[in-house]
Formats: sequence, C-alpha cells, structure tokens
Amino acid sequence: MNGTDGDELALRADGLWFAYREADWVLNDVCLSVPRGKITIIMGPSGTGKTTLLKILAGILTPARGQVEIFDHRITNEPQRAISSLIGYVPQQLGLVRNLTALENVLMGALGRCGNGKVLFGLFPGHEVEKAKAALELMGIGHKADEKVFHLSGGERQRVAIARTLLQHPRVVIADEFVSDLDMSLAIEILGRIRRAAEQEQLTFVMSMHRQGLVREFAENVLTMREGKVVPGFRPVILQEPASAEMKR
Amino acid sequence: MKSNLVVTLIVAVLLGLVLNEVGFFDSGRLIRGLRNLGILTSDMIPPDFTVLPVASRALWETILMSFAGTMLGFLASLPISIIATRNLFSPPFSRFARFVAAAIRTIPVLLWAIIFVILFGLGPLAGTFGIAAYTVGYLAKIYADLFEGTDPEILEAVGSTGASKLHLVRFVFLPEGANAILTQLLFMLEYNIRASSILGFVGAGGLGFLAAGYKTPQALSDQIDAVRAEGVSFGVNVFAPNPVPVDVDAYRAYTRAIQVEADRYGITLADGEPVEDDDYFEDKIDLLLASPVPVVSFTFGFPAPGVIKALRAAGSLVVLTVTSEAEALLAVDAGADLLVVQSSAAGGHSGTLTPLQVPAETPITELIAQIRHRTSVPLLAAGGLATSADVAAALRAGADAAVVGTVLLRTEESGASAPHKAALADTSRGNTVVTRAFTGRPARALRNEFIDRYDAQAPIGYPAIHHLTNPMRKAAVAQADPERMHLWAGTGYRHATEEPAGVVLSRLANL
Repeated sequence: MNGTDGDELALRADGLWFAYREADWVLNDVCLSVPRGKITIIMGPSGTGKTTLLKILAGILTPARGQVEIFDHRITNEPQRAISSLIGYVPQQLGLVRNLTALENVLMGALGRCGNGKVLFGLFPGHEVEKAKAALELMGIGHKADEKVFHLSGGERQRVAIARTLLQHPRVVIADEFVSDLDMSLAIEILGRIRRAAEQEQLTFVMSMHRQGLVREFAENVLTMREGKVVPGFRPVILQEPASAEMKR
Repeated sequence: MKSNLVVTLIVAVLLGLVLNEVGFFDSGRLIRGLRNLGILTSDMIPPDFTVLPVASRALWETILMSFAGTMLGFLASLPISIIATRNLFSPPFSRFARFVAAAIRTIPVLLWAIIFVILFGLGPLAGTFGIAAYTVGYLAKIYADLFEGTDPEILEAVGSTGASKLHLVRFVFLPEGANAILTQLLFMLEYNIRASSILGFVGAGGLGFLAAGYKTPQALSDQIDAVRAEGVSFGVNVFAPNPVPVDVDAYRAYTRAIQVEADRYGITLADGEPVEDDDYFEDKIDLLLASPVPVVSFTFGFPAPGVIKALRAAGSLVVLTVTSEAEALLAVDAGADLLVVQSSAAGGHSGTLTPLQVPAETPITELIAQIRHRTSVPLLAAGGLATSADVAAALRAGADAAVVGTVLLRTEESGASAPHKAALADTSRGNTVVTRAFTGRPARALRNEFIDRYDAQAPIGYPAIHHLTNPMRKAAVAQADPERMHLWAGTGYRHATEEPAGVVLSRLANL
C-alpha cells in the first residue's frame, strides 16, 4: 500500500476520522503504516491536519472513528501513562518548562517510570540522572545541563526536547514540524543526531516537515497529506503553501 | 451626535442625583467637614510621640499576624486551586473547588475575623485565621485561573511522558506559574497588612463607664457632657435603690464604737438619725432620659419596669448587674438588654440583690457557664479579671465581653486617690476580704486596721453606714492614712500596674 511491504511495521493507523466541529472532517478515513527503525516524514501544506494526525498517533487526541496500533498494541483510548513506554511526543513549540533547567526537563522523560514519592521533591533516582546526562551528551549539549531553558537558544531547546523523549525510551517518537524554525546547517546537524539515535536505539521517528531539501536528505519513508487523507510518496506539486493558509490546528 | 448628547445629559443628571444622595450638595455638612479638618490638623501638630511604643508594638503584631495568615492561606489555597484547574480535574471536582473558593471569598475579611473571634476568642490567633481564610478564597481562584492558562503544548508534551497529576503540578504548573504565584502572594501580603490594621481596631474595642453613684445630678450632667465631647461611646452606671434600713440601736452602738477612729482626725461622727437617701435616683434617671447615653447600667438592684422601658425607648441599652443564676433570670424577665455577671472576686461593692447575705464565692467562669445555659442575653463577665488569661477564660466560658475595674486603678487615667494607689502597689499587703464595715453593704477591699477591728460588729444597713463613716474616710484619704479608708480591690489587684489604661486594656484583650 505504501511501498514498504516486507519491512516490520512500527505503527499502523486504520480508518481515522476526526473533526473539531461537527461533520467538518479534518481527517477523512486516514490509513497509514510506518516501518520500524526508520525516519518517516509527513509532508503537506499548512492547515491540512498534520498536527491533528500526529496528536492522534501519539494518543493525545482520540479519533471519532478508527484506531492506532503501535507494535500491535492498540493505543487509541488508552491512558497516557499506559502507553508512555511505546510512544513519545515532541510538540511544535517543544513543550519545555522554561523555569526549569535542561537536565530537569530531560528528567521529565522518566516520570512515567516514577511514583509520587521522592520525585516530587526533585530527587530522581541516580541511574535516571545518569541516563538524562547521557541523552544530553548524545544531543551535543551536555555542557548546558544546568542552564534554565529560558536562557537556551532555539537549537539548544530542540536538543533538550529530543533528549527528554529519548530518556522516555519509547519505541516510536512523534515530532511536529520539528526543525522548521532552525537554519539549514543547524537543522542538518540535529537531524543527523536523530538518525544516529534511531540507528543506535532502534527507534522509529515520525515527523511532519515542509522543507524539501531536508526531506530528501533524511527521509527514509515519505507520506503526503492532502485533503484530509494520507497518500504515500513524495508529491512536490502540493508543497506550494496556499496564500491564505487556514489556522493550523 | 444627537444621541451622544442625550447619553451625556442622562449620565450628568444621574451623577447629580447620586452626589445629592450622598450629601455632596449639603453645604452645612461640607463646611462642618472643613472645620473638622482644621481641628484634626491642629490636633496632629505637634505629633504625640508618647504613643510610639504602643503603636510600634501593635504594628509589629499586625505584620506578624498578616505574615502568618497569608502563609497559612497560601498553603491551603494550593490544593484547592489545583483541584479547581479544569484541564487537570473533571467538572464535578473542579466546579466544587471553584464553588468553595467563591464562597470563602464572598465573606469579607472582617466577618471572617469575627467568626474566628467567636471560635478562639479575641487576639492575634483569630485575626490570623481570618486573614488566612480570606487569602484562601482569593488565591485559590487566581491560581486556578493561572494554572488553566498554562501552555497546553507543555501539558501535552509532559503528559505524554506518562506523568501523573502530581508530577504535572510539581514540574509544569508550579515552575511555569512561579513568577505569577510569587507576585500574587506578595500582593496578598500587602493587602493583608492593610486589612489587619483594621482588624486591630475591631479587636481593641472597649467601652468606658461613668459612675453616677455619690454624685449630685449636676456633677453627673457635667461629666456626661465632658465624655460626650470626646466623641467616644460610653455608659453610665447608676446605683438602683435597694435600701436596707439599719437597726437604729445597732447604728448608735457602731457610731460610739468607731468614734475613737474619727477622733484621730478631730471629727465627731453624726449623732442624729441615720440618713436613708436614694442618691438622687429620680433626678439622675430624668437626666438620662432628657439626654440619653448609649448604655445605662444598674447595680445594687433593678429599677422599676417603667424606668427600664423608658430608658430603652430613649435609645439606651439597659444593663443589669447580677451575682447569681437566680438574679440573672430575674434580670432577663425585667427586660435587661445585657447582663453584667459579677463574681464575689470583684473589688468594691457587690451588686447583689440580697445584701443581707454574704455572696457565694463562685468563680466567674462557673457563674458565666451556669447563666449562659439559661439565657441568650449577652453576658459581660466581671470580678477578678486581671490577666489576658482570665479574660480569655471568661470569654471561653460563654461571656461576650469582660468588665475590669481594679486592674485599671493604678493607671495614669485612674481617679483613685494616691493612698489607694499606693496601697494597691504595697507588696506587704495581704489578701482582700469582703466587709460591711465601711458602708453596711458587702464590698471587697484590701484588709486594713479598720476592717480588722470593726468588721465583726458592723451592722447591716445601706446607705446609712456609708453616710456615717464617710467623713472619717475622707479625712483618712486627705491625711494619706490607708488604715481608715476603704481600699476597694478585687482579688487580682496585684496585676494592677502603673501604665496608660490603653496599654493595660490591649494586653488584657491580648492584642
């Protein structure tokens, strides 16, 4: 169906329907599959529902109909704590807590494994702290661990957000318009680190993106979103952003 | 354009009506106000620095109270505001928490303080809780709104790590809101310091009484005018006639016995008929009806029903003094607005209706508790109250206010004679006793030679014995001889201190 037959599937979505307002379908019978251990990029103009789709894939939004499976676990309608070992999510604006340090933000990736005890006093288990520092090193900003996010640059924040998701140890990472705000060389460096992480940890990445150059360089599987549906492959013709882009969800 | 003009006119007319309603166009009042402003200003110059110690102590307590109350309220507001946060808790919980916060907020801080005064008695504790309650209502709402405004992407991102609700509070809501949380807390502290200075005024409420006894109606009238000119609320205490005619033979025998004491001052005690007067009772009532005062209290007896009715109709609260449960019930039937409940620990005359008997020595707390069970009329506890612990105990027992006398006798404002003040401060003096030796009616005084020699043979009979011994006592005061004067004192007299009365009263109210 999408040219990846034969590979093991990490994620499969069947017949997803979704509307914010009644009968105004943002997703209209979306089906897609994502191969394991690869970087899958979803393209498409603004306002076509990429963010909505990613939130459903991450289990944050619930579709009106249809379901999402990750490694044969159904995640639709499951509480987030139950699926946090399967799926990690990085929103477009990253969702970092600005008043906490880079390390503290990364440690939040471990919350799904922590109870309501010592952690509430900021005391994380030693091995989690070690792993968090290692994740920051992997993303190349180990030296900024104790800086507040407030003081970090855009690129540094991207790395912190990815490190947080790495500490979570999910099997699939979903990232929305991940490097859109960065200049090209920085975007290439960060995506390079992600590719290495994907290989090292057998991670599967699903991201939305609209920069063709980056897509060609890093995508191992491309899907295009169009009129509420997802079609496989790279369709450069629809990458022209419409002049009057609808408000993005 | 035309409709704009109409709207402007309507607003102008409404403004005029409202200003008229509040008295803006009453030129008499405005001029009076200006004159008062002049008086106020001239009274402030030069500033009275003698109040500085009292004021600075009060200010310090105000700040402590505000700080403790604000912190308590802050801590309590956090859980409520978290439950009220709609993107964390579902509507039944969040709606309930918001309702609780709104209900707490509806009640003004002053009313909260009054509620806690009922629970804990007067003092900084009630004020602290009052401030805490108001703080909870306000901060819970502000913080809930603040938490709800947290960037949803952060909640989605951290939520997808599998964080619990408490994790979200600790790692998202609190750090993201930290600046606003602190700003609101400091604002609340500032607001509460202002509010609690008002609470201080409420807590320190007191009411002074002017004695009508042993004064001519003219002297009483002059003193009422003087107090009224101060612009303070006050009461007048009147001896209600409850004469106990003296046995004439006993009177003559007593006169002969104590003449030796009068001889020391070259005085001959009255040899004629005993004086049985009523201390100008009728004239004094006429005076109080013609020019009513806020409160009129009676002791020694109850006035006739017509007198009580007339005073109440004139706008005065009528207070009757009682010394037992039985007397209290009679006083309520007689139409008293408030009761002074006097225990035998009180200094000076007992207000008992039955001066033939020595009053029972029931502790004030017990007496108050007994009477509290029988009536809802406000009770003012009197007798031996000399420390803030005594006052607090009386209020806990069910009294609505405390009455003090002896503890004020040595204050700068006190009109007690110099030898009387000196005797109260004399550490070699022993206990107080109830005696009839001076006036023929039971009264508590410091023991002295006269009591020791004549108490046993003193006949009952008021006011005859009072008039008999009066010249001797006056001479003793003039010669500073404490052994032949009436050293009225309650059992707590050792706590009477030489300080401004305001300081003593503030300490008693634990403010």
